[in-house]
Amino acid sequence: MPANPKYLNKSPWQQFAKISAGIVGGYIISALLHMCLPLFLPNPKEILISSIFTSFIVWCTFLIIPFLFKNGWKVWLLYLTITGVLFGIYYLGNQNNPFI
Amino acid sequence: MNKRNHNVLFNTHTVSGIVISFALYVIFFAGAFALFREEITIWEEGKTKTHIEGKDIDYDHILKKLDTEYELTGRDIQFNIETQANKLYVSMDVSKDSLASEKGKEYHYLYLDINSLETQSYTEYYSLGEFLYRLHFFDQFSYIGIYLAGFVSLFFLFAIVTGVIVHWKKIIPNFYAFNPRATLKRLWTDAHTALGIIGLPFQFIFAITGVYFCLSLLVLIPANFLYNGDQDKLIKDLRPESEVIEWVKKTDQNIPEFNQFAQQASDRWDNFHLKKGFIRNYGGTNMKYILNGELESDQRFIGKGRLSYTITKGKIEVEKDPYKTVYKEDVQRVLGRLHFADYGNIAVRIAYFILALITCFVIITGVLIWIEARNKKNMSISQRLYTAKVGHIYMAICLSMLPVTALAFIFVKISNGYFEDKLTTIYYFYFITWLITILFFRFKRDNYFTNKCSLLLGAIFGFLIPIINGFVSGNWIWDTYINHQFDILFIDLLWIIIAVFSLIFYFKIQPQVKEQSAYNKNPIDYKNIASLKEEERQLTSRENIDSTLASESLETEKNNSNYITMKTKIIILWMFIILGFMFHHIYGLATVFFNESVFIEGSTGETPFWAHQWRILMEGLAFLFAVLTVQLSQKWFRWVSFIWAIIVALFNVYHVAEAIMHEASNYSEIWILLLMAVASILLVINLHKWKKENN
Repeated sequence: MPANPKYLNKSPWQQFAKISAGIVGGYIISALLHMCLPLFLPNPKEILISSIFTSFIVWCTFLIIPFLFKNGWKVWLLYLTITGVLFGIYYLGNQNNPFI
Repeated sequence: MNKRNHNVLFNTHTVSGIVISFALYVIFFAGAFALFREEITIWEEGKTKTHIEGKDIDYDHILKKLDTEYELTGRDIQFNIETQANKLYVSMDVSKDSLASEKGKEYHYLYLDINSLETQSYTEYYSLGEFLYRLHFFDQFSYIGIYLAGFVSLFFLFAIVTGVIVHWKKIIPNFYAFNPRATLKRLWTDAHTALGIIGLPFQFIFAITGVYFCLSLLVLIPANFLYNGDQDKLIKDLRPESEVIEWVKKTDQNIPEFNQFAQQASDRWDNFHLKKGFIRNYGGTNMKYILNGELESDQRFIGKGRLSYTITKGKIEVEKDPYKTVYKEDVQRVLGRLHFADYGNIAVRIAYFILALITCFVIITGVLIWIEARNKKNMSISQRLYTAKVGHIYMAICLSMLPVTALAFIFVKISNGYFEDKLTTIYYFYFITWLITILFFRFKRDNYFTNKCSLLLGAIFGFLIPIINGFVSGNWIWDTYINHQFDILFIDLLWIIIAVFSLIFYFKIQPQVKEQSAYNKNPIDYKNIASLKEEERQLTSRENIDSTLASESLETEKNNSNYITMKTKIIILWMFIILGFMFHHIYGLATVFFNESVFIEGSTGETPFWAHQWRILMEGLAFLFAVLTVQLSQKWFRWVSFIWAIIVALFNVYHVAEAIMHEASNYSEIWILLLMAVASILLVINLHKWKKENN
């Protein structure tokens, strides 16, 4: 059965917001997360190399999340906030405890 | 899960699935054959192979020969040992020695026969195996193909996960309810879920490893930040064998024997086979030999070993013991093993082959459910036509791959040794036959026929493959069996089995099946499309008139606070583009403030013609269109504006991309160019709307 259209948001802007948040925002969050983890956890290089598969799984999760929201721009706001927080963590971590 | 989320996720599963489906089918179908890439190459060549071990190769002789031909001093050399095909793939980087001659400064890669030492260029040694391997990540589209495949793979992962979420509750009931005699749509739905779940672990592995191989660049970007941009160090950590060593100078000593190193390296551990050799700084004072090898996969799943010999130290060192796991290095190999199925023997690859074809089936059923569910009486004819068209094209692309691939096997066998540039020949043959069959099936507009015809042709060509092989190369299946040429025998047997199954399916599929299709119950009358469309248009326009009369005025204009009349909007957008070009010029000139000369070399004080040309083409024409839009609104004018706007938009997008790549620090310039690109895209969209308006 096809999905019931009454639940679907047909606005192209909303679709654009959700898809772009998933692809661009999702990637940035996944990348930043994998930059933060090695700075704080033991075995940093091993964690970094694990990102060859974990980063895509995380990315995929963040591709799905936007569709659970009604408003795609709110997702962007959320993703930008997460990005900001992660960047802050990365910045502090990299200053106090640089990777190399 | 609540109803809304279920429906939304269902829709994302459908849409992402439909968008990638045919590309994914091509990936899995070509990828299935790519599992036997080496066997296909050997089959195609048709020569007896003896499987020479890496340690028995006379490397020094080969290096000597290459040195006289290509001058190796100062080069980094890599060779992959292809034991099965008795070939060495050799790549020779440009010489790092500044004293090297012109000859040494050319990059070369080639195939070298281990026995005869004959060399063949990449295009000469190209085979159908290589072609199908490259097709499975769209490498025929140079540069972008692999990224396209990567994103297809990412959305495949997305479709798998959303698919599991939406089908979660029905997985077990559907599995037991699976009944091949049910109605067609029911059958496809159940098969899609049941086989999708059976293949799930396999598909998940491929989605993940596929993205990794295609989009590894995206993993390297964050890693690069952590390493503060020190790429050499990053590579040294991740791929130690690819480490670059700086060139010092040419050595006076004799070049140490590679053969001895290879033999000692190979004898170090039992069941250890050499795979790849590297030479850093050939003929330099810090020359280094590296050999990668692997234990047989029944010894260890991952048994990567690496040894090196440095001229300065004069002894062999073990860089990685194959019996010790080093996570950093071995995890990359795990993904490779899982993707290429090179663990275990041929049985594993056959299992992968079957699972890949099952995945193809899951993809096809997904598309079929989609088209079946969208052909209902209450849907408009244009909607139904669109769905049917997509269905016909998708089925044509996917199903015709079987006969086209089979025919390509026959073609390469017959034409073997006839064409020098095999790459071009295979490209032309495969893509042209594929295109013709796609067009034929697409305009035949009958998925049942496409399926039957593909199966029958696939079966006929499949049976012909071993026969042609016997006639052309004398490799009849009984001969290859007696002579232990199992690689060649395998391909022949594979095609016989594929042909048998194709024939079984061909006879199993009866015309009654067709009667169950929604397109049989509710057919589209292709002969009267024009009249059907006309009917519909009248119906909708009447509705439109009714609705406009009801609201008495143009609702959209009143309620939408952003409303600008179309022509004004277009004129403003053209003016934005002109403004953008002005800022672009001003920023160019403004470098004067910062003490930079703005004169172009060789200027004479006169504006050259090319400058006028660009000015007129860019801001001049934009200006012209802005002015003309004030007065003109004929149909032809809308079309001309639309076409020119597309060209301007492409140029502007290219311009901003180029600026980002070449002068990333010129922020203000990039910002203006970015806005211009946005303005020109909006212009194209609005002109498109304008040309559709009737008044």
